[in-house]
Amino acid sequence: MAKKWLLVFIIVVQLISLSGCWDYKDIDKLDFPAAGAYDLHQASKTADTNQEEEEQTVDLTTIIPNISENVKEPFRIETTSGLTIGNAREPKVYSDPGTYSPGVSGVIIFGEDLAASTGLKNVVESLSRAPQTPKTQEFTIAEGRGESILRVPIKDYPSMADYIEGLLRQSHQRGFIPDATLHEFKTNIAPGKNPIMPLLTIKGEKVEVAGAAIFKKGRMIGKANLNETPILMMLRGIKSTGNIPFIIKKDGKMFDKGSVDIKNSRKVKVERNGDDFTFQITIILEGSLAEHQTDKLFTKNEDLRKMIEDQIAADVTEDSKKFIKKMQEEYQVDCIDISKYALAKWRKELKDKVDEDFIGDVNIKVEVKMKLNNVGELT
Amino acid sequence: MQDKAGSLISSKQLIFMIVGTQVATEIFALPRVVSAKAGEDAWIAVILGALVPFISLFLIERLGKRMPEMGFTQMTQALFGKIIGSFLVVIFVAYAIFFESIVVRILAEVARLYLLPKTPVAVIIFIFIFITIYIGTKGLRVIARLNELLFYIILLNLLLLILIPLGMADYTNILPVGEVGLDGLVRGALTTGFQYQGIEILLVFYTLVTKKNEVLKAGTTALAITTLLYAGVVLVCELVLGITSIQKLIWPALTLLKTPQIPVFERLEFIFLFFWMGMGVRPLLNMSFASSLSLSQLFKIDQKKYLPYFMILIGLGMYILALLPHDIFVTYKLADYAGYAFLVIGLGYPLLYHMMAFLRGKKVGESG
Repeated sequence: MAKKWLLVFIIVVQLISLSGCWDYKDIDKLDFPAAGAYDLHQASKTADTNQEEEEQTVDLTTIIPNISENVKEPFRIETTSGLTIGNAREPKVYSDPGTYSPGVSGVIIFGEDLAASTGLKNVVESLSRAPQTPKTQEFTIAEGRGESILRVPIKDYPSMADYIEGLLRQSHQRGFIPDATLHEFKTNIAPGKNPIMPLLTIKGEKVEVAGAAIFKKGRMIGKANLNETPILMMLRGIKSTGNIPFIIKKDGKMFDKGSVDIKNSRKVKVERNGDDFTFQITIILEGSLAEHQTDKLFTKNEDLRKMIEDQIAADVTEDSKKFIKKMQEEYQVDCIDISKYALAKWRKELKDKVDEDFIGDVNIKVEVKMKLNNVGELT
Repeated sequence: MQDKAGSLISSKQLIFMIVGTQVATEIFALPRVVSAKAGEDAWIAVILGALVPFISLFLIERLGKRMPEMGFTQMTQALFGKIIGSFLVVIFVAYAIFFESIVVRILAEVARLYLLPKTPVAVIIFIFIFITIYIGTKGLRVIARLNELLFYIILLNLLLLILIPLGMADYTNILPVGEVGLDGLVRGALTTGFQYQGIEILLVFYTLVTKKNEVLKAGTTALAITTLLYAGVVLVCELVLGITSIQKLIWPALTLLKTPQIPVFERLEFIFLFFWMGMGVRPLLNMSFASSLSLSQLFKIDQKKYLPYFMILIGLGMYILALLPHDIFVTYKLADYAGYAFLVIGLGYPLLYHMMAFLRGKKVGESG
């Protein structure tokens, strides 16, 4: 009998305490931000404020869906300011009766000013520290202010948050668009690595991907446009799928033109001779012919398939060399993620100097192997 | 054989009980703790670290073979006399309470951080210990069966933890192999050795195993399972998070679950913790039962009748000790001391017992 009462007592204690005596929350009173934008505060950007970097404040703009059925507007957009992101959440208590729950936001947009000036390493600290935040939040950079992106009116989606999340989530599987999560950002600021992020811009009345933002550790240092971004992704080894065009010329005249749906991968080898390091990057492209515009049949022109393969390989090789030159001379940062292969061989020796001019001094060779797996239903 | 609280366990159940006592909350912080010493070679250090509990297992098994019918308390008193023997048993019980108070505190801190942020830690600890006491009163057979049941859940849970994030692995994170050098590997292995706490329960449970000739095999199997799970978790953490990130995380193994993007199961860490909260009581249960049994033997009282009271007493001790640390960092500082204490109990005790048995020769059998 005593044991039965003990059992009853245990169950009662558990039900009372674990079911929410202290952690009870009414879901109607919670504010779940669907997306957030982090920007340098407007006043902090003006030259006459003479603010030290550590005194600059940040703006936090959030899209918060209105859960209640009685509210006409599907969501509201709020901007608050603070010394840090965590601190910028605080003013919400003065103007919003709901309890703010930052952990569910799927997308974070960083304003270009913030990313390029103070950098993001310390800004994302609050996201990394909070146990309720998943490491799968999508990170992106806005040309201009992140707030402006969130405030662009949108008709075809419930909110801009849904649109951007759909645009960026697993974006590399749809096209040559890098996707960056909090986890990827954190792991890519380790020695020998640097993050990249998708870059968004407002074109007319629409938000579009404009390329990729290039970082040196936590600070944004450059942009790759839409032509450079596929090459950046191929060199970086981000497996993607996309369409690339080709033009084949013979004797100065156009012989054929078309496009190929491809997927990419890469292999990297590194060798050294004393202090001279040589990286050999092999980009492997595989795909199928999407279209070509001449009447030449593959059954009657056995060389045509090889000509297309060679042309694409040559185009990608040339563009890769151009990008590598720009990376070594202009960015001076390893944005194609190859230093890790040198670290994997000589970590102890290179650990402290791999992020200091290492990439500018190395020799990088590129080879592109293109294989056209099929040409579709037509001959 | 008077040392049994009404039942015996099979060698198969012994496997589950050893794994159940070893694989506790340490696994969450293990990648950080080991990689701080062994860098990229942390996973190798984890495998090498298994030598420490294996030596302990071997020594305890040999000791048990010398005096197979004696329980831990009887054996200690037979070897060291009543006063010193009783003192050694009390030290063992104190160690078990100390060790388990740290386990339950870390478990409560994990629960508070991820699941119940506003619930006082005292309440969370109370619930864990209350459950422990309740199950403990059901006897060894129930504890052994529960360990077996929970073993399969924990195995599934840890396999998910290891396999799901593998898609994000970067193999360069663990290269070059062996660069940390022998010094780093040994320091890493020693640090890991502390994390294999739990094998010392064999001191108490040896005599309760039905087929004693299978104890070494069962113990080795249990250690192999624990080693594989530990090495797997550390390796995947290194591959996915990298050493730099790992060093900034209190519980890298939990953060690991927050990284993959899986449709529907977006918050894997909550699913994992949902199961882990139930499994977290296993070490408390096994250790507190072993301590209660030792105490009841020490006072030579009816085990069936008074064992629950000892469970309550030990639970109370655990509760008070678990509340003492100010925060998680103090708790981890104390966990280091518990690691040293493991060396004393897990290696020092059996060695000392062997020495004494050697010195006393045949007299031991007579006094037993």
